[in-house]
Amino acid sequence: MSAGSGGDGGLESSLEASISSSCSFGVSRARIFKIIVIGDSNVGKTCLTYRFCTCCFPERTEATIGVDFRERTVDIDGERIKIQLWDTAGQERFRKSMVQHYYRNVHAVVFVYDITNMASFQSLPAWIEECKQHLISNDVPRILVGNKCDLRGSIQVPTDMAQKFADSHSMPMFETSAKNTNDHVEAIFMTLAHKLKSHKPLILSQPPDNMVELNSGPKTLFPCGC
Amino acid sequence: MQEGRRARGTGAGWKRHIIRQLKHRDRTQNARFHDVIHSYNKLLEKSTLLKQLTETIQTEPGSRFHDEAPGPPGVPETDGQQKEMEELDTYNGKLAFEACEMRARIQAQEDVMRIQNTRMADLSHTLESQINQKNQLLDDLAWIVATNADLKEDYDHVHRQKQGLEAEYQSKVVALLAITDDIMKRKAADAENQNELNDRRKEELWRRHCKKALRKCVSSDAGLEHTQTAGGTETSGSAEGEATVKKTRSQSMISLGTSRFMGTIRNVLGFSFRKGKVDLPREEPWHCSPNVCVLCCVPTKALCNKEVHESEVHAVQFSPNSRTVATGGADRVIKIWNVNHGMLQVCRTLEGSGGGITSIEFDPSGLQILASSFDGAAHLWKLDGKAYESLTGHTGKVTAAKFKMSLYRAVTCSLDRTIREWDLQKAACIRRISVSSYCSDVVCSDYYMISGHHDKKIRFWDSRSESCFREVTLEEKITSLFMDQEQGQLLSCSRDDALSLFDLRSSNVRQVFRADGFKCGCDWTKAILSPDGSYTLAGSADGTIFIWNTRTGLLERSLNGQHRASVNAVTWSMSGDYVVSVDRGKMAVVWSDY
Repeated sequence: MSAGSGGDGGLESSLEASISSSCSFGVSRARIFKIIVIGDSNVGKTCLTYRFCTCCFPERTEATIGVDFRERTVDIDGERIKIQLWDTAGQERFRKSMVQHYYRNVHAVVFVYDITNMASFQSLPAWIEECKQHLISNDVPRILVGNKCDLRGSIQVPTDMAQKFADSHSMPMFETSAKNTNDHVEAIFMTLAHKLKSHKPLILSQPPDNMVELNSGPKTLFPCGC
Repeated sequence: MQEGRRARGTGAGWKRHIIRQLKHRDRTQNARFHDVIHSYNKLLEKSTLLKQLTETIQTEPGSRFHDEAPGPPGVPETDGQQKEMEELDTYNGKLAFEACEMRARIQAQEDVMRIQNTRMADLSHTLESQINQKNQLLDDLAWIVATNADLKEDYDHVHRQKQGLEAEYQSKVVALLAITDDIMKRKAADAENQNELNDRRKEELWRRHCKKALRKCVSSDAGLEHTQTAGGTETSGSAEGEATVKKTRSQSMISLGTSRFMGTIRNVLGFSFRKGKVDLPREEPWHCSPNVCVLCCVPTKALCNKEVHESEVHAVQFSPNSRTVATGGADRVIKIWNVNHGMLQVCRTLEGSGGGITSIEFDPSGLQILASSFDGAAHLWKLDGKAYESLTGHTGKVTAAKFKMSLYRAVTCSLDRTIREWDLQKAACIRRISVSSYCSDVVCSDYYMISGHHDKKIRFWDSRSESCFREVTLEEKITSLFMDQEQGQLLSCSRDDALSLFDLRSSNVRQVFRADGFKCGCDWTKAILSPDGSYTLAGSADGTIFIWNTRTGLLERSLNGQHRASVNAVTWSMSGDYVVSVDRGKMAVVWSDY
């Protein structure tokens, strides 16, 4: 039984009617990529998503409760793609009943840690484990982002440690800052969207000639110039 | 006197003697001394008078005068007075000396007293000052006590305030928790909604994409490419998502029921979709549910209305590949029709039955047709060859014949109150079960057979034994039974104008479908479930097709205007997009949504 569409038979038949009469009901024509942002509390998930979607840095943020949705429609190779960022809660009490909903039909997962906070880096294995438990398929792309790299004086997580960790989990690693006005945040998400659109794997074991290997890419392409 | 004394000691007689002597002496001597005694007494009187006088002058205690011994009686008067005067002078001197001494002593005492007075004065000053201090301290103490009492009052007040604030804080914390819970619930609902919205959008996009694909002109060479590109561009079928495990990106089973698309693919690729190669060798056992329909479209309009037989049409059935329909009726033939865009085109006619056809069933490969007929036999036609077999043995009209889901077995039931199981290779009856009532329909699952009877009972038979392990009684005669693909639900139609849906796993009635205007037309009216199990369809005595939603139990749609007679049987294609109904007025109608 097709639960999703069969459940509201009225909607289904109206959708079918719409197809047969080829009129639009106002449903967006753009494809949607659902990308969830996971990480400890206070690492900067809200700022990252806000930065990407509004190009501003929110000066005052509060602990996210449950989840916040932020969307941005971008143009990739002429196709309009809507990137739906799920800014999830970091605190356990604010996310406890929501985890199933986060991982349902997700297209990509972004793990965020704070490079000035070693504890946020050390809890990454737990997040990755949770992700594994909830995702049915193994080929959902995941990336690792280290935030707050503008606070150069308080860095606790060295880049090479983070890179090694990311390599061990076959994820590309990026260091960025949501606060600085450089376009790194934009570039990270756009790259992710590109890869999602073209179904190319994020990390290639044997890079063909004309493909960018994201594994070592971030270092050279996006030096964290904060 | 001395004689007197000496006389005393000679004894008692001598005492009187002594006493006479004394008295004598006294008388004799007394005269000589009488003048002296007299002058002495006078002197004594003067001296006492002087004494008194000096006492009045000097206020000294008369202690000093103790020394003034009265002169012995024998002292002459002037000498005595002179001596007295000297004595008095010395005594005076002494007294003066003593007076000076006394004065000095007085002075000293006065000094001492003065000193003591000053000391006393000092002490009294000190005492005063101490008293003052004490008073001061008492005042201070009183003030402190008063201040303390004030402070205590303030403290109590503040303490009460604090308690009040704490209680408020506790209540606020509880309220905060409640609000947080509320927000969390809402957020969860939001997330669910967003997920559902995403799913719907994805589906919508899918449909659009498929629609676009339909418009493409497909040639046989391009066909393969077409499926592959069509398959590869999008992630696995959204509509299939809920029913099956989410597939990974590399698989690309397109499973929407868009008829033309499917039809095109089928035509081009030439195989039964999702099944694999059609030419099953006979020896290969077929698996239980070869086709999974995932999306059923409720038909809305009739595409074709055609006279298909020369008499009443009793049975209609889609083939598993959803391309052909077989109809059979009282004119004793089965006609096979191709369904092309909703139009029926006759393909073949199967003859050989001696009586009217009561039910038709395809085997999962679509190559064999098993039909039961009024002549007491079930007939098996094979569509690839021309071989034809009949299963004879019943003594009454055979009302239903179904393939059993194992090698070459079939089950028939008949109005002779028996259910028979046949081996199709030998075309012989293997088993015969006697029942107490006319059997109107039978369905087979892997493990048991279910038969519906005129005595209002549905009986469940174990495949191996002849025992009926369960009986379900309904209100009226059972006219038809239908089991869904997953063998979890059984739909029965009975003459009380109700369809009952049983859940076979929990063995209870899940839903009963009724509708105004729905009447069971005859003793063999057929009701069916849609291939995905979400709708129930039956034809009514007035020619209207009723469609119910199995989940809600409510009437979804009723289609009328096509049949002019009572609808006998209905069938729904496995692809979900066509419904064919046949009636007593020789007509067959093809319904669809497109």
